[in-house]
Amino acid sequence: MIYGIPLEWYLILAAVLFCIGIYGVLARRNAVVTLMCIELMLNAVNINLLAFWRYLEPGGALGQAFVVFVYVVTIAAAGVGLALIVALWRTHATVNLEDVNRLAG
Amino acid sequence: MTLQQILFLILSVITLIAALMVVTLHNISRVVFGLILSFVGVTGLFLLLQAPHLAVLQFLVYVGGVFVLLLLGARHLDEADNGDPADGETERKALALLHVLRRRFAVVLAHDIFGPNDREGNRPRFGIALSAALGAAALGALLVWTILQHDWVTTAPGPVPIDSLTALARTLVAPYAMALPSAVALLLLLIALIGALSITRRR
Amino acid sequence: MVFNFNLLDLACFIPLFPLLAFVAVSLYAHRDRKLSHSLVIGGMLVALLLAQIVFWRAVTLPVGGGGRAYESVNVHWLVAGEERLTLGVYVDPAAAVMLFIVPLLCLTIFIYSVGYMPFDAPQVDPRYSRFFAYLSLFAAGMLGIVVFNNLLAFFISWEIMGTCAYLLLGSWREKACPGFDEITPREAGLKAFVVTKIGALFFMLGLALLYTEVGSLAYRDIFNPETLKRLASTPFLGTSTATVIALLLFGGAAAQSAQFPLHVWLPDTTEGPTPVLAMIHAATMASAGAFLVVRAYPLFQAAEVGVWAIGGVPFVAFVGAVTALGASLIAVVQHDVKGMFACSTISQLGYVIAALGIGAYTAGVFHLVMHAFCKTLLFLGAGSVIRGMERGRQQTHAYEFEEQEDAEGEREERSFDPRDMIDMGGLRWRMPRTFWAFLVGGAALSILPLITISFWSTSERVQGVGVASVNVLSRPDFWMLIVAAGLTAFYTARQLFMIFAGPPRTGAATHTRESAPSLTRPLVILAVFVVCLFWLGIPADFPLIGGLIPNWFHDFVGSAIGAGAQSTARLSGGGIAAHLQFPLMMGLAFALGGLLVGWLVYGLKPMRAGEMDRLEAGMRKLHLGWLHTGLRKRLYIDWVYRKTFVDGSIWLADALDRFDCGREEGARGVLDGLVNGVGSAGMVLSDAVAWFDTRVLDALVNRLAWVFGGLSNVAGWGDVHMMDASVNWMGVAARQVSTGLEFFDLRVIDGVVNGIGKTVRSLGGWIRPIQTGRVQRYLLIAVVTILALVLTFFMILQLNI
Repeated sequence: MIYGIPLEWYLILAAVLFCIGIYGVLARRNAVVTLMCIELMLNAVNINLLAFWRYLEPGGALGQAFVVFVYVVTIAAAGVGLALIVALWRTHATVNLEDVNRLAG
Repeated sequence: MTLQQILFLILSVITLIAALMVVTLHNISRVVFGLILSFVGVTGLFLLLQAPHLAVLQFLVYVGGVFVLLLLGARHLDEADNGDPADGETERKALALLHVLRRRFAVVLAHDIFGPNDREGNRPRFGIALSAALGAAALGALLVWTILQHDWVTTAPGPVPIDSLTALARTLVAPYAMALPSAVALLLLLIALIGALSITRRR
Repeated sequence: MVFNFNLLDLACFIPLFPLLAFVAVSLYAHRDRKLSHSLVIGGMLVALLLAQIVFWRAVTLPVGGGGRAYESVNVHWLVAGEERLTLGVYVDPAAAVMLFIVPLLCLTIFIYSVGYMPFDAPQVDPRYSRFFAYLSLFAAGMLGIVVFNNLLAFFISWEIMGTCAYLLLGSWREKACPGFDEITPREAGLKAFVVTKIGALFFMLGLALLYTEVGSLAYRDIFNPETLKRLASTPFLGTSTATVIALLLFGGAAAQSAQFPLHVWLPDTTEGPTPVLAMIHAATMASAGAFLVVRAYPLFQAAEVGVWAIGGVPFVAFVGAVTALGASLIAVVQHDVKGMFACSTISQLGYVIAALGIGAYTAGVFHLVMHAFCKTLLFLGAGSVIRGMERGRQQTHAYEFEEQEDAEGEREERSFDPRDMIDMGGLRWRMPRTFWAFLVGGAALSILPLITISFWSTSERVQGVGVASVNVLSRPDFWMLIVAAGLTAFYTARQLFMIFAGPPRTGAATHTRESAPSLTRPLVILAVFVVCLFWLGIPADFPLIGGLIPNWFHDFVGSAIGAGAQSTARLSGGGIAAHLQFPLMMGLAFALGGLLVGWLVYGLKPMRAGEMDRLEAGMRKLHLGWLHTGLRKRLYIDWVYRKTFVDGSIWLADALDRFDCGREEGARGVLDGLVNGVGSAGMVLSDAVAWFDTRVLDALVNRLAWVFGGLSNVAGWGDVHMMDASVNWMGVAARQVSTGLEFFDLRVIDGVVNGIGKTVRSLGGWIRPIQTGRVQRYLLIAVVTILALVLTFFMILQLNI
């Protein structure tokens, strides 16, 4: 218990945030907003990692290092994701995911 | 109730409400605002977790990087209403229900969520939205139940050492620790950058 | 959390309020102009209040050991591993005095700006709010410089000020046609920024060296005697570390305070709005450079700057004196109201630096403070005059047809510039309050160098050598300062007479009126302050007026360096040595002489309309026209810089580009040629390998094939003649078998295979609708599947346990 906050609170917060992000990814049609929801999910992951780091092994630095790597992945994903959205926009003139069904059939 | 508990509650409420704003609202400006609010909330939580350097990193990476990227993307890729037809029965029933609740805030919010096509043409279809919400809620319930079941912390956690930043730096760079993953991560960034550039290159 | 709260701790909040005003205006209030300027003025008022509290408290502090400095270390600011930097306040007498003047001056400038910048134009001008926001940030930066206790915070505030100066100077950036100095406002801002950045480079090198040697940048760590002694005795590059650091810091101060040769940016700042100029020249930026020397004074004392003595004069003092003289020479021939003041600022700051360089600490600080007041007063007055001229011009255009046959008709064809003093005249009766303000400011400015010289010649350093052996007259910087004092008086008189005396020389001047109260009230306030504060700093040995009031300034500020209560000793002790009175008398003679010459040339018979500047006319008659032009063009220093640095950099960039890419017409650049050459080499290599492959390897393979061909011929003969018979017989039998099998195959096996195919196709037809191509549907299915799996898994676990 750090400051009177039990570990479970952080984990539950991260889980709820993660699920909100999943809902957003599944239900939003605008591709950019979907990307934003992915960022929410990654934020939840980070909160989880840091909470575990703090409560279980604050002396080590592996938890924090993992978080840094998650940031790297986040940035790469956001960059490439937005590039894909731009390419999508250029070829299909839409970012509405409902209309992108070229792989159908 | 200690001060930090209250702070945690406030921050988590802010973060969650902001996340909800991102996933439900249709006015892109409000979605963007919700996004940045959630990032700021997470920064606060990191500070509460006594990782100030990572809080700064979070702020820089997300607010400075990801947020700017997404803001520009949201602004420029804003598309006009492409004439999505209404979903029919379920939608009309929902609208009728909302006409009953005549409170101003609910109407505005609901208008945002369920109202007629606005500029982005982003109305949820009840079928997909409902199943997505159910799935996410079920997943959430499962996670929460698992968390509460398990006995996580048996001993009291120690304090964060003063030189945690130095330890982190050493871990990331030292050959006996994470030098190779760091190199791979940098390579990943390079590849992502090249990939993004080549995808968006105009011929 | 109990800690001793001292009123002086309030000092840390002083820069906070202008900073908050900046944030508030730029984020929220930038559409509402009234709210913007109210927020900014309000923030400054609070800062002024706090500064006054701090000042009066600091004045009443008892003298401790080593002077009266109060420091409070508040906060750990930057933590990186084991290195920690702390941030806190440091209030010593010099800082207290600056805290007194800076908020006051900034507040008057802000109030003045409200009236000066056109704000009730019919369309919303967003730049108005931005302007005030930047002014507030500028003030916050200056207050940060004064208040904080380490050089890094000092540097950060310094850079904030530099950025604001650039932003503010470019306020009228779409004014593309060059103004008085043939430079557009945008270029002027850029020039100011670049030159002060050069100084910032030196500053930063000095900071780096200091940090390496001392391990901290806080004043109490740097300026205590042991550290200074250590720095002075550590050798570095042939001289002591303290010297190198002091010279580097001085480089930064010289750029910021526009000392020669880094003064080129200051005269061009006249392209900016007048309140900005008042801030830059007087209240904040230029004073900040001198303040750096004041702050780092113990370091300068410890440094062997005497090693760099030029003609028996320490380096710093020499630079200051040269600047003072050179700038006052340039100021004499300027036509532009603001331009003259700009050169005058450079000259006066040269005095400050010279005084500090020679060891007259109190004199330097006093000159700095009084110059800040006088210059602000004069700049705001100049702004009032300019506004008056513009108003007169508008009026004149209304009466244009009437004025045509007037004698000044030919004058009007020249493009009208409200700043040109040639077009003014006779404003004394039309703008009386502005006139009196100018008079007070100008008089103070003329007398000020004298006060400094008198301080200076009786200062510790000069006197400490030995009263009998000092020969002030043999020092070149003394002569430079004296001549500059005379010139200062001369150009002040010249300006006063040109603007205010005689008949108005153009229609615009005829129709000016006194400015609005929001412009003249600050002038009045400042004039009152100038007159009052003047008396507090006059040294006791000044002829006639010294010794009337005890030199409070000297006591207060001088106690910072332990100068002690010298003035009271003088007051009671009697006169000074005779041979030191002579320089004072010389200085007085030069100053009064300058005023007299100014009156004779310009005041006795005021200039008429259409007349060329008398100084210019006189010099041309004496065949010194080339000198006049040279001084007008500011001694061509700008031209030299442009030819060497600017054009040189462009040439270098061009040469490198040619080296790299070459020209369009076909001449390839070296680097591109190399890269292409590597590519060609690669292709040549691959061609060679291909040749090798086709000629050599293929030949070998063909030879081998020929050998096998021969072998197979022999085998063929055996096969045709012996094997064929048996094979043919076997073949007939096999044919029979295969017919039977074929029947089986066609009916049975094919049936099965086709049946499978048909089944698969129909299955596919059922499943295909799932594949909608929409990613989000797939994700939903994934989530549901995961949930199902997990639930199943759990159920199995529960059932088995």
